[in-house]
Amino acid sequence: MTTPSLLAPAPARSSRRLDLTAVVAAAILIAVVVLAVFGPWFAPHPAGQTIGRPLANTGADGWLGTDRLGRDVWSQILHGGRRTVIIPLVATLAATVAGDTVGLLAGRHPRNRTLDALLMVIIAMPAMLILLLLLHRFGKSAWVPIAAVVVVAFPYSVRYARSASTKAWGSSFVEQARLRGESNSWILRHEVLPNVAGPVLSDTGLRFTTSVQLVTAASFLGFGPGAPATDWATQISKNLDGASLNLWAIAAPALMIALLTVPANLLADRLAARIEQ
Amino acid sequence: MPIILRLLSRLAISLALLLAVSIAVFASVEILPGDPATTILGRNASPDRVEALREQLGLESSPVVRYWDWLKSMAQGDLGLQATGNRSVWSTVSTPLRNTAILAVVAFATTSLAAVGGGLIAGRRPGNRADRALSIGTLSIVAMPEFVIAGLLISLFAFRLDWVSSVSLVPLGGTPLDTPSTLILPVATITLVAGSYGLRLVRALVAEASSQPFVEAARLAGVRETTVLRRHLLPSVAAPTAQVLAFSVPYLIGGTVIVEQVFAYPGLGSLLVEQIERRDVTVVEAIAMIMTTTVIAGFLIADLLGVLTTRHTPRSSSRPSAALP
Repeated sequence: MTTPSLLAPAPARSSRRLDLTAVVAAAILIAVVVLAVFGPWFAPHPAGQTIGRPLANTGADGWLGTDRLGRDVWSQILHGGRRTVIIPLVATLAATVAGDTVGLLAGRHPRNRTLDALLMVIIAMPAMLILLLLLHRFGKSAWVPIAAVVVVAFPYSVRYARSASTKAWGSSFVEQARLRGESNSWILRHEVLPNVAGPVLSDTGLRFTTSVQLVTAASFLGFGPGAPATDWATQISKNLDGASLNLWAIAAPALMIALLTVPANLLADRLAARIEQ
Repeated sequence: MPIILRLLSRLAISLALLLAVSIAVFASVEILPGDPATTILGRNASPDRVEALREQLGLESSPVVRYWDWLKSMAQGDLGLQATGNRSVWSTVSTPLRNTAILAVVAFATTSLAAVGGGLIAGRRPGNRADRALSIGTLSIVAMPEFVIAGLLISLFAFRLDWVSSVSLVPLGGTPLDTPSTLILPVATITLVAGSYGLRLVRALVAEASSQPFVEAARLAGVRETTVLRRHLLPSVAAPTAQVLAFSVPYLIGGTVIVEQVFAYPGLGSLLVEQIERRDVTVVEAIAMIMTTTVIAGFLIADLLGVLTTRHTPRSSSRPSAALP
């Protein structure tokens, strides 16, 4: 223990105290995810149904008014949540499995020039460029943004998991296991993985935000699902032109995406800070 | 190693990286499964037309030969002819490139101001109220997709308050500078995103510097806060801060695709989206190379700044490695 110094920066707030920001963020996140997953069951109107004149103001036609094609904005929000939440989740899982597997294995030999060069090439290409090149090649499909997330997140996940696992690979536990004659995959599962699970998990949380950003960007650029299927990003991009008449047509889906990513990012950051301590 | 050798080695690494990226770009546009000729003409095109276009695009020769030819003309600054139509690629690319550059220069100034100013305020006394507020604020902003930030800005400032226009209409043949108000919302969006990233990195540098003994000693000795800032904090974070700012340059050129799209700003990003819809292989390749060259140039500048300034700063451990998405 070091003696506390009068000059030390203010200590991080005690971890035992209830972290109000984290509690509020978690509550919002859970509410948005529940709304997104179960929303279609409660929507007042079926997906894509026209209920009145286009871009009607709030009030008469649904409490958020109607969009460019006269559809109920609130119903569209409830129908569009599933894709907006689930596709980035799948992408995050895929990116985590791909990047962390390579990173954990690479932790044994952290100085691998071929791998470093490959990661650098990916980092040098803007994420949007990778996304657009893949869309250019493979066209409209939910799998393209997922693939883009895997590629874009790969260098960061690999580097993170590699540096987290390098210490574990060199630890005395691993040494002992090796002397006992355990295989590399046994060591990876029983000695390395438990030691890096926390950091890797918090890294995954931070990746979720990146996933949402890329996946929704594809939809925003017009590569989203075809009508009547919808998601929140598609709703923003389709209604940008007329939104001066009913600004909720873009403000509502924009707020929903913000209410999904902002709490997720705050929570992941808190988690990462706690694990680092 | 003498400094000149280190500079040369960084330059060599950058060139090698550019070469590797050019292979990746070429491969992802022309070699990945699928045929540019059929994607351009559509699935129902007659075999004769597909054959003619394949010949025009030179798809019959081997990928290595094609790559070599493409690289040679790129290196000579000849971007070739458009795959769809007979205009030269450069005539298509040059005006949007200039518009994006204008946006980037203005946004770089505002981003630097936000990152350095905010970073100093937040990092000066780590853990105080301003620091915590800025931490939550910037975390929230970087969590949002750009079009969400832009959408919220449009809702508020263009539609609710009616202060600015929601689209960047640039007069025909003019530049965005003829109507500077069109730049306000795009620049604000970029500044919020890139400024928040930069602020977090600068804040970490300032926080580290302000916990150093000589800063604490100066404060205890009763030196005025502005003097502490000017004499001790700023000089010790100047070099790594310059690196942080250099890292934001790639984003300003290659990352603003979405922002340009939201505001219908006639820049490189909008052109890229448009040409990907039109399936124009040569224009897409040219834009991709321009964007990645900027990224690598940004990395190189940051690297060189690091090499040139390590002698003057006591610690270079705080070299930022975070890149914008």
